[in-house]
Amino acid sequence: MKPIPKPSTRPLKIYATDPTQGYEAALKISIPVAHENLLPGPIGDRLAVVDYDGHAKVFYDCVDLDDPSVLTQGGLDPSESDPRFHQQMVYAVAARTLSNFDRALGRRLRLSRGKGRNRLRLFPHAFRGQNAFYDRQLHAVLFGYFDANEVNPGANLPRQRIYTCLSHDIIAHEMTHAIVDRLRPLFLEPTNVDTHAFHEGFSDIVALFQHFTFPNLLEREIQRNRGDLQKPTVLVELARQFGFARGEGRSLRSALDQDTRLSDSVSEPHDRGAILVAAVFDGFFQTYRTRVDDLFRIATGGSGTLPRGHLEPHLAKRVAAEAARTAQRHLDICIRAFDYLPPVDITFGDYLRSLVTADFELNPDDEYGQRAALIEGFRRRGIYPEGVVSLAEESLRWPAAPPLPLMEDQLVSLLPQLLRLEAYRFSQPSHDAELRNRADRRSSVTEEDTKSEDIEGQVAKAIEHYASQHRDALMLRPDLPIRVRGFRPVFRTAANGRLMIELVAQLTQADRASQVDAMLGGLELRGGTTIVVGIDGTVRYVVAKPLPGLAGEQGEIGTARLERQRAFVSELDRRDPRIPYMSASELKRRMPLRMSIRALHSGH
Amino acid sequence: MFDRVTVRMYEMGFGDCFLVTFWKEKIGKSVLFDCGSLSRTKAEISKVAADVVASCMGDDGKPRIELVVCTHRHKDHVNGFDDAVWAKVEVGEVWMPWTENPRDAEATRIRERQSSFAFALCKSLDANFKPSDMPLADGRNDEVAARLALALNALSLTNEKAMATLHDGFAGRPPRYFLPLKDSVAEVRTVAGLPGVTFHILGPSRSESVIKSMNPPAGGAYLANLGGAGSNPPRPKPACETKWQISQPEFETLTRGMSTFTAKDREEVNKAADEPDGDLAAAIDQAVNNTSLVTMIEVGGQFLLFPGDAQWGTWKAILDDADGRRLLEHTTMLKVSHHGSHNGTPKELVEKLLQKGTVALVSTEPVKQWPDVPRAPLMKALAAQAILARSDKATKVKGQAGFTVEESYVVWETLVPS
Repeated sequence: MKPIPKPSTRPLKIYATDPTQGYEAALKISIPVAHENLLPGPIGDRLAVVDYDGHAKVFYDCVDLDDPSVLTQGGLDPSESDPRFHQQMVYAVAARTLSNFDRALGRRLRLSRGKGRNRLRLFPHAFRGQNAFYDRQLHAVLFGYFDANEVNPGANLPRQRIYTCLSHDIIAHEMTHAIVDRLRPLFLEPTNVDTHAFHEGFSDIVALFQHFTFPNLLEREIQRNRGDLQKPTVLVELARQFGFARGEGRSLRSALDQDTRLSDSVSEPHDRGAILVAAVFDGFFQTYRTRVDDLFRIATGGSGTLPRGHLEPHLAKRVAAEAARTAQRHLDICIRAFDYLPPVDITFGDYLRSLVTADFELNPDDEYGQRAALIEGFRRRGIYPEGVVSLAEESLRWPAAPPLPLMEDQLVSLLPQLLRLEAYRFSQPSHDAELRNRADRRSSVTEEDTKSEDIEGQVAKAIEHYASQHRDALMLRPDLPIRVRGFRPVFRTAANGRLMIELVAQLTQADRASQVDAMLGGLELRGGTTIVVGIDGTVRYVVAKPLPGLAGEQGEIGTARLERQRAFVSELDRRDPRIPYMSASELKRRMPLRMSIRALHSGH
Repeated sequence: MFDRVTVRMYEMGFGDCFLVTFWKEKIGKSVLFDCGSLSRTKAEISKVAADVVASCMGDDGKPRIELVVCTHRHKDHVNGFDDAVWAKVEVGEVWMPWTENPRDAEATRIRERQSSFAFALCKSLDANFKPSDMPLADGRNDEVAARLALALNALSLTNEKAMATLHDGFAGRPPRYFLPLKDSVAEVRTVAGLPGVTFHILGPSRSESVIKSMNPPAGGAYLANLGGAGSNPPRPKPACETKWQISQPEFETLTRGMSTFTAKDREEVNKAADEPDGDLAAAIDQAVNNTSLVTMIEVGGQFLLFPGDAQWGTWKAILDDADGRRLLEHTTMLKVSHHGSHNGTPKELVEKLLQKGTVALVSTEPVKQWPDVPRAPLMKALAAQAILARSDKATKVKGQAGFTVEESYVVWETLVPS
């Protein structure tokens, strides 16, 4: 027999909507997940499911997704009672979320955290409780299970067992926390009112947009709601079952936030994050309406007025396709912004500026008006970046870097190696059977990861050297060491088909003297700069969060940041019920104690 | 009409007892805010109760209090009402926060949730706890004792007799009001025996966010795991049916040794499953504090604010309300909330709303377990902005205009020109 090409994807079944009883049966769908060889668990290159129940202290049988009988069925059928399906679903949704990031960021994300932590672990049944959280120390996402509210269980049965690991939204949300923590580890430090809110809001954005990548679900909802996406449907609501089972009588959260605008009084991270979600979705809905307007006109002889009843199926299909494309592009824009974010102390305004800059670099013409719609969405929600004079696109973009010498001197010998490695990790293998199978004989990605660590170490040194020579222009303090984090080459295809390769690095500094500042609650005051460098060695953007003590305006910004951080810590203190009863040593470490997604989530 | 008013702050340790008296020449009419303590013995608290009663003698030689206000059901505010002395006191009216209303479904739900949470928490901290335990007064000095004190503080079981006095006791069959009334905003009330005195009810609000702040913390599921009665831990409820369970060696074999799940990781996961996140005792303490009835007394240009132990949720609702803010700006005397803790007094109140020269009364006493109560920077800020009197440092105001210091209390007095 001639060789059969290795598949590039593996179909796996999941619940697209939560398995709630009543209302209507959960929608079961099959999604394509990037193919990799899997051990029972499943254990793949970057993800490992560990089905250990910390409450009952037992392991559950683990699924072998490479077992021929599982393969023939396209994965196990959805089942609430079979833990092996739970493992499959957690793996599938987590892998899907990861691919979305790979795709938008233009590189293959690594989730390794050193020895013994080379994969992100997923525990589908870690504990009993109404929570699920990402834990950095364990390098894992822990999902809880609980019994539905006895009095008000919504569409669930009273005391029905609820698994947070069977909610697409919860998996995608937690997975995004893990990825964000990978890309910007310092965002877990709550340095201003927006940092944790960003973690929460962004995780919701990813989970919500992923709804639109499920064609069956999308078509069904579009047909029913006659193309109106702004109705409260499963598409724009998060974690329905979880919300109802807790006895709250509603979904956990929704993209359809009422008309809340950003103000200081909205400070709870989920509430504040919801405003970010609403801003992004305002932009999405606007673009979507523009994009489908012509379809409705064509279908109605120009009037745009639809006949009564469900949407005509062919039209629904075309409209759904447009919604899916628009959603995917929006999600890409939202994720891509990451490379342009400062390394510390993010605000919603910084995020808007990064969104606009990243998308401008790739699609200067904004052909679909998406960027403009996003800016408008942020404006409507009252999200304005600091120090920006207008919301015109030019003023929102990060300013071009000051002229700096080319970086190529330091990198001339290292760059080709680094590029080769990243390209190798991210490039598309051939679809031809023979070529594909030949290519598969090359070493595994994990082995490559280890190899590249050495080169990356050298690159980090070179960058550190470059940065320390240009501290002024990079807004770094002369007296403090520079730490280089996350140095990555990024590959993207621009709208005009040209390849855009950029190098992104985060440079951070910590002011040791701040350790004794009781008002910072045990967090060091950090500053830092993200640099975006072209393949020719030109520094394109310098996105900085300066420290106090720098000369001139930068120093003033730094001092203002310090003041803001102190004020924010004392604001958190005011709300923290533990404060009156903390011991002296707990008081000193109170901010690190607050840096947990678990604690963040238990409020909601 | 009255010509002067006195506010008597009893020395209660970690507790509250305030007697406000409106005088017309030699005749006084009284309003009592709370009577309780966490750090005093029953006998000591009883002495205070007797003193209150003795101070409220009417012309006929019978004790009478026009109004008794129970700000919230915490032990350190109510356990003094568990005393036979109250049965002979004639009371005009009794006010409590709306969350105490036995006929309000929402209120009942909140009370039950708080109380069953507190019960489970006490049980988890000390399986053999007794509702009558007073860990702070007993001199126990460890973390568990401190947490147990807070959990017991919130446990209604420990306050049953005191709450019975407030709900059904006293002489004269006083009517009970649960405030603010359901359909009122910025409620204004008067009391029959106190002409010319206006009471503004500022909280607790019934808004969704305030009710949320009264909910016991998440972690309830953790406590539910512990189950109710019985000292044996209940059998765990595994996530999936027994038939799916495999042994660790089986797991190792199946995953071909590729799993990175170490024994240490396993301990960590167990810990996450078995231990609650954060300090549940402090969280339930705050939830009950947020039910505090916040009352401002207006009389002859004086505005006396009694916020109980209001914490962030209740304060925020008042500060977010234009009328509430306006009233706060008028304050001439502040009973400092929650024994001077950091979250009992909004920064905004001290820095922006309080006028210079306002009188601030703090009923407090540092206990070893909680070195941050009262909060030093707050005391400093109040001292800078206001005339500060602390129950535990009463001698400091000796000789200051308006203040009299007695053995068991401090009195602040002011004229109320009509």
